[in-house]
Formats: sequence, C-alpha cells, structure tokens
Amino acid sequence: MCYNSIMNNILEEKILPNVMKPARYVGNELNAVHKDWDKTPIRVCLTYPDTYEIGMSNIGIQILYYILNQGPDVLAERVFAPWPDMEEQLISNNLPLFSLESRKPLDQFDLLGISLGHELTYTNIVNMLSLGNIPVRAKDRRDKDPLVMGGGPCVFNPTPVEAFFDFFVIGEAEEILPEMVDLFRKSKGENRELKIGELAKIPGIYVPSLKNKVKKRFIKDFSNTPYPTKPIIPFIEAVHDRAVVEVMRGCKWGCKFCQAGWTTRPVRERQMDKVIELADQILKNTGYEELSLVSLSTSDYSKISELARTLARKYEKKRINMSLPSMRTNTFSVELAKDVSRVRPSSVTLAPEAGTQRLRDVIGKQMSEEDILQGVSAAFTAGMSAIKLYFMIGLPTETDEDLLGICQLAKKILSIGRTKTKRARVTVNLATFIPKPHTPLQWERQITIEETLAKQHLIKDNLKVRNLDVRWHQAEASFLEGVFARGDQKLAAVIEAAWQLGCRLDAWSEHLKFDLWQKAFAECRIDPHDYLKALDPKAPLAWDFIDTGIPKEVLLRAANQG
Amino acid sequence: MQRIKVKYTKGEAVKYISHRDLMRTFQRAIRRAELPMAYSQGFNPHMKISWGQALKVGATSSGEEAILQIDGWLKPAELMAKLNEKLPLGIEIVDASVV
Repeated sequence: MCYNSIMNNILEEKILPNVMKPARYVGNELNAVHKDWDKTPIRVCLTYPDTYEIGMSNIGIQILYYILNQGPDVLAERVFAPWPDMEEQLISNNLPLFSLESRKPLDQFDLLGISLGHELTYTNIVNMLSLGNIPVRAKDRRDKDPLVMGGGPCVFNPTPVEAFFDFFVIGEAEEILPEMVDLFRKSKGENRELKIGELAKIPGIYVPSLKNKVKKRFIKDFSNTPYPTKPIIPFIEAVHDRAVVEVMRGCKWGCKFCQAGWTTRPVRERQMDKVIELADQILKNTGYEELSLVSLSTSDYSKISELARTLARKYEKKRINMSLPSMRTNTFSVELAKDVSRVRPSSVTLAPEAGTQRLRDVIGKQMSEEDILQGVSAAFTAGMSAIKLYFMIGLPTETDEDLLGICQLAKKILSIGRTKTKRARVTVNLATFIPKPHTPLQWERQITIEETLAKQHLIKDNLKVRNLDVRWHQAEASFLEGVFARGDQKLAAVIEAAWQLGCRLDAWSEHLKFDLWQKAFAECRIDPHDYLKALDPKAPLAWDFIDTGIPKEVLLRAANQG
Repeated sequence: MQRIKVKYTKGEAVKYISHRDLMRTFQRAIRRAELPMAYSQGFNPHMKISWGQALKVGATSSGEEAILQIDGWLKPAELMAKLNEKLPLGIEIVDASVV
C-alpha cells in the first residue's frame, strides 16, 4: 500500500470521525481544482495560516489559486491551520499536515505560499511548517524542501518572520506570478541557493538571506488582471460566504493610521463592464445568493450608483441580494443600499475613529460630526435600526476629553435613533491604535496594556445606557500585534519560543495565552515594550529596505499636517 | 405548481457536511441549474423545499429524500439530469418522481 492510502485509511478511520468540524480538512468543494499530481511538474500549496473558515474568506488566496491553476503545468492546492484537536490527532497518529486536494504532506510541494494577513497568525506559520515536515528556519532547509514564500499585507515589515521564509513577494502577487512560475519552470531540479538567487533578481521579491532592497510591485491594468470567475464554494459556512467582485484597489483618503491606505496605492478601478462580466460569470458558476462589491472604500468607485443599480436590476428576478460593504455612510450611500438590496440591511457601520473633531483632524480622518449625524439620520429614516461605530483608543495627542467625546457622540446618535424607532441600537467598537509601518503615524508610541484597560474603562463607565453596547479588542492581542507590526529580526526567536510553549491561533481570544508569550519574551531576554516606544524620525527603521513608492519624507510631511 | 420528490445519495466525499451545509449546497446547485423553483412569500423569500430527516455527520446514505416545489412544470427526469450536472461530487439524485 502506498503512503497516501495508508494516510487516507488513518484519516478516514481514526482521525476525521474524532475531530470537530471534519469538513475543514476534507476539501472536495465545488470549483476546487484537482490535477494529476504525477503529471504536473510545478506544485504549489497556498495557505492563509488560520482555520479553514477564516482562510477561505480571503480573496487573495482565491485569486492566486485561480491564476496558478490556469497554468497547465502548475497545480495549486490549499492547506489551513488545524484546530488543536486536529493537531493532536496528526501528532499522535504520526501523520504530517497535508493539502486538501491531493492530501500530500507540505514537504512534497515545490513552493509553499503563505499569506501574512495578520500579525497574530505568526505562531500558526511555524506550527504548520513543523507539522508539514518542513524545517522551521529557512537556513535549515535542504534542496528537497519546498521554497517558502510570504505575501500579503504584513510583508511591508517582514523582519519578525523572515527567518522562516525563503522569500517574500512585496506588493500585488498577480503582477509577479508569471515571472516567478517561469523561473520555477526553468529551475526545476536546480539547487536551492541557485533558485533563491534567481528569485532575488525579480523586481518585487525580497530574499532575507541576500538582504536585497526591494520596490513594491503593483498591477497597472487592474481592469484586465485575472480574477477568479470560478471561486471555490466552501461547504461549511466561511466568514464571508458570497460572490465577491473586487471593484477597486487603493484608497484616496489618506487616513494617517491606515496601512492598507498607504501601501495599496495608486487607486485603480475595474471598468464597469468588466465588473458586470465578472459578476455574471461568478454567479453562474457558484449559485451564490449574495453579490458583494468590495474594495477599501467602495463609495469612491466613480460609477458606484450606476453599477450597483445595473447589477441589482439585472439580478432582481434571480433573487440575488446585493451588499455594499466599505461604504462611507451618508445620505447617498444609505439611499443606494436601500435601492439595491433585496434584503434591507438592518445595520449600518461608521468609522469616525476618534471622538472629537480635533483628534479626527490629527489622524487625518476626513469626517465631520455633521457628516456622521447626517449619515445615521439617513440610516434610521431608511428603517435601519442598528448603528455600529468604530473608534480607536490610544491615538497620538489623545486626552480624556477625546474619549468622552466617543461617549457623547454615541449617545447623540442613539437619541437621534430614538426619535425614529424604538428599536434603535448603537454598538461602539473600540480598537487600540497600533502604529503601522509605512504610514505617517509609524513613529508614534503605542499605549500599554494598562493604559488600554484604563481607557476602555473610562468609556465603558460613561456609556452605561440601555441599547448602547460597547465592545473592545483584547488589550493583550493589540499589544502583541503592535510589537510584531514594528518588530525586527530578533522577534523570530520569540515567535518560535512561544510556539514551543504552546501558543497557537493567537487571533482567537479563547486561544491567546498571554502568560506564555510573556514567558517567551523573558526566555529570549527581549522587552516587548521596547517595540511600542515612539521612534526617532531621523533614525533608520527596520523596514526601510522596502520601497512602497511613497518616500519617507512624504509620510513625515503628512504626519505633521493637521 | 408541482412537487417533485428526489432521492439522493450522500457519499464519502461529503459525509462530513452537516445537514445545514448540505441544504445550502443543494440550493446553490439548484440555482446553478436554473430550475424554476417556487419561493415562499414575504420579505426574504426562500426556495420551497421539504427536507427529510437530518443524517448524522459522518454517515453516508444511498437514499435521502427531499421534496422540491416547482413553479410551473418540469419532467422529473429533466430535473434529475440538470441537477446532477451541477451537484458536487458525492451528492447524486438517483430517483425523481412527481408527488
């Protein structure tokens, strides 16, 4: 019996019946691509290093999966982070972590592509490499091991995890993939060092062992870039379980705290006829009952009204609901949402980010109190009863007055709602401000856990009002996110130590074991607070070798405005 | 208006799918097959399907049942052929009849 069939037997007989949500590990979804392993020379495994439901909601993975599988000599498969019960089963049955499609151990692929979407997935990366029989540190890998590639939003400072990666794609991978696959075609069977050296010659690729400077790549012709028209439809409900068309990349607003806003420039729109064509094909190939037009700020799409109305008219008979997330809430967007949604949205989201005009000006959030109140008024008038508000705490120059401003604004919104409906409800979400690389606020300090808790309390104590709920990010999670966001190479040891101590799935509040993280920092003799301090604008930064196209001086100038 | 009873399999490939997930998968296959289904009235209409008893997660079956309400008229054999073309591996209609 071959190895695969032994593995299948153990999986089917012993493991899958005994783990939670076994469908996470089975695949076979509609539109999943199954190619002949033996007849396909270039084998890639892609992952978003969190659970299946989180990972399958990531458009990036679906885009790369689609593009790679278009190549006749390339196969792309998927793997996701196992839940702890599955990890235990794999280890006790002596089985490696395997891909969903061919059930091949990770070490049998030529390339493992890992999407770095969130700093709190870093221990999952180490865990998955280890479970997949791939040496955790790039320097320990041999010729037969896969090359491990990183991409996604966190690569704009890859230094904390670079010890685990052979190379990173900086910017939009669609732009680099053709050159990269071509290199894999030509260099099949060559030794590792040679391949890595060749990869470093491709613009946009950063190779940690060579320490090359790198400039971000981006797609110039966004309208005609390939986009998955046959996305995989998960059997189990993913976080986002709907047809998605990306209508735009980049964001024109320039909020000073927003890393996505500064690293995804320039703003590019997909032509309207292309969006309609994609929506048509995706709905036909999936049978989804909901279509969502996504981008960082969909209301800025130049023909959003025409596009949304055209699509809504077109799919009305087919009972497809339209959703428009990431819209700035105002009279226009509320009217539009009301017109195009078959199922009227019950809630609307606003992100004032700060409680006072002064602080909104400081952080470059171009939204006045008048905008906010008009927007919520329109929403309540349109029959929506719930308003979700997003704020940050710990912003530069923030005082208690700004925090109390959050409370006042929330109460004002609730009272407007009460004049329209008895069911009016306001939810205040509090995130801790995290200074992110390549933004104008990258030099600012981040507040400590104690300060975070104190600020959360101040707001909670002043918002004890019926139908007004306060939610907040776990202070410890934001602390770690901040450390790794502006971290450096020294932190790889901490990540590895935390993983060895048992840290996994840190983005899940029920799994985050902060005491173990503290132990890991202590073992490595690193004070994490050092990474939260204000930075000297004249001193070099750990991520200076990455050129996003926006010079440091521009960021500094933006920081000093307002 | 017409009611068609279908008998379908839940095979190895989909045995770990919950009943709720199976229902959603089925409905999406029906949408892809563009079958003329009857929908419930109201603000958020749903396809009119009566489902048999839920099968335990992990179990396979060669004869699960559901009754599909069709808006108009469709030959059971045609429904079976169209739907089988769109159902994922592991789910197959093996019989369809007007009830």
